[in-house]
Amino acid sequence: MGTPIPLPIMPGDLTAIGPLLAVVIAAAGFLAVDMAFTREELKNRWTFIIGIIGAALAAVTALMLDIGTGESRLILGEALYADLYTVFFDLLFALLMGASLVLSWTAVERARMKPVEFYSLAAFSFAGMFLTSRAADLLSLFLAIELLSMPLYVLAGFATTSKTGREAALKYFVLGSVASAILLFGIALMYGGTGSIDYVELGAQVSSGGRDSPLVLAGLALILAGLAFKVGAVPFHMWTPDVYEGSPTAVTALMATGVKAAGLAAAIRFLAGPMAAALSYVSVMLWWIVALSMVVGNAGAMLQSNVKRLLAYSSIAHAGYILMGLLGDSLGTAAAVYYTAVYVLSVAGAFGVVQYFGDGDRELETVDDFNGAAKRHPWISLLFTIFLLSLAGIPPTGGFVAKFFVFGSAIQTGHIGLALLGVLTSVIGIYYYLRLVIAMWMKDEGRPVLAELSPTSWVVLGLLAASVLALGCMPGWLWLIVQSAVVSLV
Amino acid sequence: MLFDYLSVVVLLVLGLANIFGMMVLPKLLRPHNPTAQKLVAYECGENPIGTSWLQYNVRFFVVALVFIIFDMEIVFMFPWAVVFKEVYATSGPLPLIEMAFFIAVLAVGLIYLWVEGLLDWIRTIR
Repeated sequence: MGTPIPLPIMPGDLTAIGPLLAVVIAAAGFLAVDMAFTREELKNRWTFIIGIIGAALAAVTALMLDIGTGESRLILGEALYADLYTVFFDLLFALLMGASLVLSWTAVERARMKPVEFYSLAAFSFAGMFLTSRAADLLSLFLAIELLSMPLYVLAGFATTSKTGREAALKYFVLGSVASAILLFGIALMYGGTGSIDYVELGAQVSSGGRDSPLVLAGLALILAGLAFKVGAVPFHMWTPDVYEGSPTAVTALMATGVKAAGLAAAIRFLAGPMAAALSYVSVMLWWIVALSMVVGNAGAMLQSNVKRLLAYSSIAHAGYILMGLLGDSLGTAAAVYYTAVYVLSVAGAFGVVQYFGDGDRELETVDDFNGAAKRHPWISLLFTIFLLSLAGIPPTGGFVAKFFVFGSAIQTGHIGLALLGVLTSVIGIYYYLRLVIAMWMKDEGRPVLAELSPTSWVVLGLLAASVLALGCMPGWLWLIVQSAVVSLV
Repeated sequence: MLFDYLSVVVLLVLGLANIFGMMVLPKLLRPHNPTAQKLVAYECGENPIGTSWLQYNVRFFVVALVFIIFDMEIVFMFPWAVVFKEVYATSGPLPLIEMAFFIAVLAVGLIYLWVEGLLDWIRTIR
């Protein structure tokens, strides 16, 4: 036989992909639960238990990672990274998985989905999300994006009886496949131009003249377009409002939080890491993506009366704000990561609240449906208001600080026009977020019905609101963590 | 560097020439004598009944999907099996555990399908 081949696995590598393993085992565990029990209550109880254990294990294994001196470590045959950046996003996704388990349960049952099936597909999608922040070559990146998308194509179509649900699933699948093809084509061109798919090698090639090759630039533009689709930035946003509206609310919550954060985690890692030297060559393209996202997202949201469509357009606008950070220096990148965290917490909370309003099978859909909510349910309206104010960027909340960081870095690096546009569009944003707040607190008529909230959901919603407020009042500690996480990217 | 891609262009031109040559040359050489008899179904062929835009039973797709999944599993296992002995010499049973994990995840999916009754050819709607 041939010579012995060393396996490219170091002892610490399995800990480094611990969160990934935890959610995959949880996903398989959900299926096992569905087979093992026949009674619905038992199925549901064990689904919840396994899900929480999976999310907790993911968080614990993420924290167990030895970061060392803060430099990026390549693991599993240089296919994945392990550093503070991955730990940061691992914790974010683990939190999201826990929040989804607690907050989406009512909406899952209301949409006539089996919690077991929903959460097992969601867990596979979460596995893809855990992979996006640690991809260290272009194939890992593609694999991560596909793994997170495939279960969501199925989930988007779970509401088989509604026409909009089927439309949403088909739209998401067809457009998502096209975006994947564009991404893959970009990867192929990048490989053709540099002869490598490895981030480290790509970075070295690009900074030593590789960025002048038209193949590399075309590849970079196509990869950027593919990622912009997943993030939902203009002009690749067309699917967002329809898919967000048509999908069951629990799935929409997953798309607005997890998918968006994962797409941004991948984009930030790729653009601020190996492509940092070439970024000035595509900055015009990025500039227009950012500017159009802010304008179209906010202007579109202003015209919506449907809450899910409103949040969809606002998520387009937020994608623009976050990508603005990438135009700046390393502080801008840190601002983008900080903004992502704040955005995810606020939207998880906002969708968490929206999922509880509804009467039987019917969900609250229009802004007017929320009229008088505060009279009947003051506490949850207060929580909803906090999340909305954070999304609007009003001072005591994290949304303000995040916008401050992003605009600040844009001004420092000379993008004053873009920062001005950002401030102007934020003002538009305040208009439509406050419309919801006014409907809840200042209108009398209307009878919004609230599903019964379990104590755990109160705790999770309260924690989300508290963290949003904490990120606004004491941003320092997270800002420092984010800054050192971003240092390891380059 | 673009010169390296010349072979691609040559292949493209040759391929197109081949296709059009095969379409144009017979046109010039063959006799042209159409009759109605030549359009009738040939030998074992049957005259089609109805349209071909039918609604197919979804079971065909389920079986096809399962087949592809386990086909791909074999594709992944072949290179693993080829180098297994050499890797085992240095790393111990870790590769075996990895493959077992990979197969276990797929197996859970298959068993789930089975328990749900999606593999039964004649299936009652539940």
